[in-house]
Amino acid sequence: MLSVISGFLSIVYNETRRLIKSFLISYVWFAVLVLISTYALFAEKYVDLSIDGALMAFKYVDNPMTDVLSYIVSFAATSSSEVMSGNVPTLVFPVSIGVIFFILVPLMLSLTFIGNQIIKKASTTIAGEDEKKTLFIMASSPQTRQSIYIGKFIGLILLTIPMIIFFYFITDRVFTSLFSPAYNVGILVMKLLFINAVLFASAGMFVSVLFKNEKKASWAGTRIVTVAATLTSIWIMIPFIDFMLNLTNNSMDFLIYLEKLTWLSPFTLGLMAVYNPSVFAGYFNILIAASVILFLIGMVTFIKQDLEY
Amino acid sequence: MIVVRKLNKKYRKTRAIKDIDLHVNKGVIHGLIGPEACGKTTILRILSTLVRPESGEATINDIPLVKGLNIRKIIGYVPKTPHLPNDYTARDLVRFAASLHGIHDRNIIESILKQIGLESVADQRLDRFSQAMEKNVAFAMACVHNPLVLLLDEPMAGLDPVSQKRIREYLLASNKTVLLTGNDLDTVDGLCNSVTVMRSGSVIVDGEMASLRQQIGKGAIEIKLIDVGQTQKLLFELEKNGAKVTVSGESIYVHYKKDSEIPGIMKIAAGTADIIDARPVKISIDDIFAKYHPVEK
Repeated sequence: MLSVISGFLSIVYNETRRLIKSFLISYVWFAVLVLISTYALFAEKYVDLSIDGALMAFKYVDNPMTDVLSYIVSFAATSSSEVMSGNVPTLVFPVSIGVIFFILVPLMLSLTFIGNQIIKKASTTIAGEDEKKTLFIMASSPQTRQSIYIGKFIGLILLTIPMIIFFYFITDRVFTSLFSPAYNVGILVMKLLFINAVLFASAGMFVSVLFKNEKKASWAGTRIVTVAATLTSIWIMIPFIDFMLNLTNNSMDFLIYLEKLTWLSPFTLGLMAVYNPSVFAGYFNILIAASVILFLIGMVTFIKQDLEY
Repeated sequence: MIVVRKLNKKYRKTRAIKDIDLHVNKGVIHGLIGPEACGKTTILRILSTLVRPESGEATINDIPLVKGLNIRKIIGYVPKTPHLPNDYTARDLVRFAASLHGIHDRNIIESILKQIGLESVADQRLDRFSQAMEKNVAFAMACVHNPLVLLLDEPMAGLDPVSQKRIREYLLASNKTVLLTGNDLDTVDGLCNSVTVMRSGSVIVDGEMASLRQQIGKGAIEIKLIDVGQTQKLLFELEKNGAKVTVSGESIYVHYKKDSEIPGIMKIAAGTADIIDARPVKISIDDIFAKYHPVEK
């Protein structure tokens, strides 16, 4: 039993060691992008103001863009006298808008970056070995297919830990120094990034066992992130589209269905959960369930596969 | 001990093996011989639990294939062309293979590297290795946990003569149960105690090498003399003692019916003429096909 556990740990170690070499550049890029996007937040001033939501009524309760739109309209309305008298109004954002900026830029960036990087690695982890025919080393050792699959999975997740921890500290710093009156979402963000990594690693590994070709698997994996990011971008824009259609008296009924479609993206659920922490647990559980299902389907497929080496 | 009963495997519509029966005794080196795509590799893949059979059963040391983990503890598998990650050194890979079996003792790793002749190149990355050297690394990886059973897919293919000799010596001295494959009998001659000859996914014939030679009428010793002038004298002496002798070129073929006759033949030959070479007559896979599978020949 001890030898099997020891063998399993060496799969995890070997996988992490193998992947980390090709991940070093990703860490640097991640740090640079997060620092730049977060630094931009410090360029504005934030005050403890509440937004008058009654000015505009939206049906999209968990969409942060509704607050941004309400604030823009309210700012335009309240500063019109200043503009008319020839003065330039001072733009000061409420803390809640600052939090939304944080959610929409650094957090969305981190989610997509980690999702993209992890799915790229995950989708090639078994397909690559399958194509190169190197999987026999582990498959003919006293390790079960489950151990190999789980070992590779843990190796992938370990890769994201430095990025998640880095982003947690950045979030914590932003919320304690810039948005101090707001609820610090550091822990929620850390949980979200972790489940996001788990979900994309599960999806990537499932793709990896389906496609026995590294190039095809990588293509399919990155397409998943592209589709998810596109859906979330549409979700972000829905209040704007609603606003524009409202101005032109066009029908907006389809937006309700479009919004529901965008919920298929884990990024959308993630952003909604951080924007409204009261629903975090529910959305987090959905992401856990999706990860578990994808992980199990992938593992069972892998167990049933013949390895023709 | 390896026992296989009525083993079948299909790859989509292609039947790879059909009702294969196999019995390899403990401590025996057994050859699976046959042309390309006759199902030899499939049998090894099934026994190493990489591939599942459609039907049939197999046991290795009385452990059924369904207990894959227990099987893999006692086997070492080397594919025909092992593909190894080339950004590792030979030592790293052998160490990794050992760690998969829970072995972390450096002495064991160093010992197997030495036995396979890899100690001088152990710290070089595999992208500098030839195919033969990679195969040696794969062999070291398969043997690092001292398996009771070795499953070797064409172990001599692509190896240089020095490596071939080293692996031969290792296998002959190891006292392990070995199931290896080969395209023809000469690749396993002097190595295997017994063979199973296959064609198109089925077993044509199996048995001990000496018995096969007898069955196909090639139970003979080929003798070459230093002085061909002594040929007539040797023929006379052998025939006088009842041996059936034929001559072809510079070779004298002495036919026998039982292995026990060989010492007597050699004694007469050595006492009559100066022998430069004497060896059992090689049988080829074509000889076997001609006798047991004439339709497809």
